[in-house]
Amino acid sequence: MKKECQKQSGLDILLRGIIKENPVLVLVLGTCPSMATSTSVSTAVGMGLAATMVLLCSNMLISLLRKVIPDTVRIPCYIVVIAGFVTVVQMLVQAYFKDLYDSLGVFLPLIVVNCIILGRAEMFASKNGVFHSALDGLGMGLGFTLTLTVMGTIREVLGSGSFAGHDLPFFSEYNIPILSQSPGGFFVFGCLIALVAKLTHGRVKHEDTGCGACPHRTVCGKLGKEA
Amino acid sequence: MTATKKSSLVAPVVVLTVIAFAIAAILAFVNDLTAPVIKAQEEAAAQAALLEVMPDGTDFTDVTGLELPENVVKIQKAGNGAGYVFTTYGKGFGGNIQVMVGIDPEGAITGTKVLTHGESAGISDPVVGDGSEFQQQLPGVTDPAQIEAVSGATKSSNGMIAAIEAAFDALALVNAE
Repeated sequence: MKKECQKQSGLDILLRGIIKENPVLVLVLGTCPSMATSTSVSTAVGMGLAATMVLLCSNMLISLLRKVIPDTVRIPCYIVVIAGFVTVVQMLVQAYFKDLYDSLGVFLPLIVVNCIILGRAEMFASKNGVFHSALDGLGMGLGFTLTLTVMGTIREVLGSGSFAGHDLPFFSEYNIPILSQSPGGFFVFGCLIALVAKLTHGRVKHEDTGCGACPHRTVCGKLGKEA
Repeated sequence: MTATKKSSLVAPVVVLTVIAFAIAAILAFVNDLTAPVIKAQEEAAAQAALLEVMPDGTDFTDVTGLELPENVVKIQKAGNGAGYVFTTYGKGFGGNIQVMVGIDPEGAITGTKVLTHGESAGISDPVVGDGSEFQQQLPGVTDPAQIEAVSGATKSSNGMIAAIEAAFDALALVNAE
């Protein structure tokens, strides 16, 4: 289980998170914070960057410790490391970016249980070197941030008629308020998933069913074996 | 065989403990750095909110020793006699709306500010937003019955009115003291 996965170039690892294995739209992880914090562009970007920071740090530390951490307690160890970094980020945001802290509310501490971070620790960082894990964390974090930003832009411009808090002409008079509420989040989410599926259709070769259809197949290393 | 069994029992405990201690040490260090900044910010924010609902007030102090009614969280008195600031709540559409209400010695509202609420985004903006239509009618009001609800956000309006009524109740309590 600890053996390195098939050879992958650093650039590939970095770019993979943005479209091909986008954590939100392809792996469908971290859905809850994506819905909740994408009501405006500024909170979306803030949330994305905070999660990226945690993801980068936790991936690097877990990768460093991957030979030391015994298999039986790996999940508690990952959670302690992740919770530690989240708390650090939370304290820094609270001290230096008060507005962002207020608008993110409970979703900032909830990064601890964000599936993307634990998922990458378990799927990638625990099996790969520090450098590749850092790239993976950065790529996945940027993918998360990008998705949130796109969702936030659509929802804020069409839903509230503003962009990053500034009112836009035309849109501020004719807006669709439901887009800034939870149902609108699902509409935008569904449309983006469909778009990404269309964009990657036929380019990413995989089987239709079973283990080969899993979005995690490239990093799992257990393709075709019983889990 | 026993040696490996022992190490497989001990190693997880040791590793997890060491990691937990290391993380705790990092947290303590960062907390030392940020705690004073956060504290200063919170005090400044509380002061700014007080000035927003009562621009003439200075030297606010907490009123203690009173048995506060259920919907009243805190009463603060302006040291220069500009009145009282009540922190109260009323039930809106999505739970309690917590409001700061400033009332001068003549019993007229000087200003209001919504602290926390769970109202629907967008729909409730004319009521709970800063400087909203609903809140613009409030300064000078002496009787909560004069307040008009905003159509389209009736439940939010009623929550605000309930909070303001609680503030007037608390004012009667303070004046009777």
